[in-house]
Amino acid sequence: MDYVGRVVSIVRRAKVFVRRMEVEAKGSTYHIVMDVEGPTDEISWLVAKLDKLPEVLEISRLQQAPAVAIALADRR
Amino acid sequence: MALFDAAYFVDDIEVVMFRHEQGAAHAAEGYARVAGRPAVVAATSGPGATNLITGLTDAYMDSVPVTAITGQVATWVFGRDGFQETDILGVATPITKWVYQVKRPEEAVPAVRIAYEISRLGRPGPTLVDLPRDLQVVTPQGEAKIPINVSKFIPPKPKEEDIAKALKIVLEAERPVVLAGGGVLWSGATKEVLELAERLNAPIVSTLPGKAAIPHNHPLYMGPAGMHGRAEADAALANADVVIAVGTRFSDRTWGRFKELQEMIRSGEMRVVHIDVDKSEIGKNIKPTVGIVADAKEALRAMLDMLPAAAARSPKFLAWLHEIRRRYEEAMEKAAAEFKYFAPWKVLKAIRRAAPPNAITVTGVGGHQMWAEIWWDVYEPGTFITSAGLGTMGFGIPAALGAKLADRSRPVICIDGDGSFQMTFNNLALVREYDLPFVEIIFDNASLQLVKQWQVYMYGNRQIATRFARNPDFIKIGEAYGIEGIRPSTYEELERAVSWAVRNNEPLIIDVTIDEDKDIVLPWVKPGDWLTQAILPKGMEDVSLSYERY
Ligand SMILES: Cc1ncc(C[n+]2csc(CCOP(=O)(O)OP(=O)(O)O)c2C)c(N)n1
Ligand SMILES: [Mg+2]
Repeated sequence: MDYVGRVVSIVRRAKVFVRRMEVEAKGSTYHIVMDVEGPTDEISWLVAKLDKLPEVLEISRLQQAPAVAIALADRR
Repeated sequence: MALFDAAYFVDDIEVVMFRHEQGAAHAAEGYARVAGRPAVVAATSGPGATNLITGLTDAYMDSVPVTAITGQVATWVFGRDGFQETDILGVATPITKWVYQVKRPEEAVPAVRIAYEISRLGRPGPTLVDLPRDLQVVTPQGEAKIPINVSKFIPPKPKEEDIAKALKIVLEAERPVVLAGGGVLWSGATKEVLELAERLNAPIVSTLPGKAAIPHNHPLYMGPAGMHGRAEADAALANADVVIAVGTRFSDRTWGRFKELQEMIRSGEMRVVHIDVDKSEIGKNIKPTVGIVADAKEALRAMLDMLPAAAARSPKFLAWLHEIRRRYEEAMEKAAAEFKYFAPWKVLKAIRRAAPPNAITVTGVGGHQMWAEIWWDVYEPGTFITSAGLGTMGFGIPAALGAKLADRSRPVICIDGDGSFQMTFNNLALVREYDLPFVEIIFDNASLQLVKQWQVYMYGNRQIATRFARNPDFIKIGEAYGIEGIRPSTYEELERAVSWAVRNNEPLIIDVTIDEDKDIVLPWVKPGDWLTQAILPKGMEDVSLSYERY
């Protein structure tokens, strides 16, 4: 869970409201889906900030409203 | 233990033993800033690891590459509060670019290699690898793959359309100003910044870390802007109609108040081109008119290649800024006459005269550092090292040692406070032990002056816990470590002492008595104020930092 902890530590500091956060182990990676509410710019910043973690292999902002999806490496 | 035991058998790793882990971490920062590559700092589990944290946070705030290796209890006692167990991953998570706990022996080598690599790639920063005790003594069977994405740290090429947009804005500007941040230094973009400013005839201002990137004898450099910036730099930034901000994170210390800035950008009064290698910096504190995610040098080169020849702006704005500078220096010359002992800025001038242009200057944190921000002249890029983002008292001495380790051929000078000195002077033991001479200049005002200044101006002059009723004898401390010391009584004596130490590559402690009651750092943009509201010294009452009213 080390990597998930790193993600949470960044999300905590964004000025957004986290409605939902789901973490699921799939193969060798963790998949995280988050529903967050907040100003568009703040969500963009959060995505950019999360994408700076080298353990975040992929990140995308889903079409459906404000969701953010993250894939994390290594099931840590 | 096992890690150090292994170092016993390796010849090409130089082990330098500091007296406190925080010192080792700051030394690693000093080293990296001079050598341009990370040093590895290693500490034992528990208290050793937690003692590194201030240094790593400092490196994180100032984007300095440092790689830390911490010991950890054996994997079988994890999470059970074993002796000297600390969840260092949890502690270091928000202050590192990457942190990794080795869970199998096969991960150890790749983890350290990756940590080293990541710390220097793109925007630099600290990384940490945690090595449990039981894994340190197992021979790995090959190397495990650690699946991470390092390629994201390789700066993208600047987008052509962004460069074109930026150029259009710059060409429309009447009063363009180039703002240089610490990223200019890491990118090696000093030449490009100067060229852009010269071709536009635009003033350059910097942040505190960016100060090290610009030669101060350049006629277009106005100095650092911000809380304790130069008045002419504050004026330049506040009155620009276009700011080309390079490698900077729009810190509140540089801008004072974001509300004003955001308002100006929204109304179109000011337009901002923000170039940064870190995409999460663009739009973090202010939304720029154009954001360019790229290496500073590359982005500026792309702009320069497309900039038409006749882009220079009218010299009137510059003349106004130079007049502010003249008035400030004149006012301070008068103020110096009121000091019974030494005036801090005149001390800096005397040291500068004695130190060769390539001397590396390191500072503590406090009023003396702010005086250095305003008055220390940097001639060669990379020769001014300070704790800007975290503002860590005690940074000076260990960072000076690290700088000297990185380049023993250059003189190192530490501009320190008496409070800062007392936080990390234990590391002076290394001066003779490893032959790392530097000149330690203590601005001795018997107080935590900068905090006292806030008490004087913002807390109704209620002074509490900011005066040292009794300071130790700094000269005797030096003596205990085999370092000579002097307490000069004139500026000439001070200058001679620095010259002597530099010439002979000798360590020296200089205890400079400063009148604590007169030591008020000005200009000062009080927290939450806008740049034009800077408090200026006596004699500048008629000077406005707003261009319109001029
Ligand atoms: C480790 C740490 N503790 C506290 C502070 C808050 N602080 C900022 S400046 C300052 C005073 C510094 O005193 P000194 O080193 O003597 O410098 P001076 O301001 O007197 O020149 C203090 C306490 C800090 N920056 N760092
Ligand atoms: Mg002091």
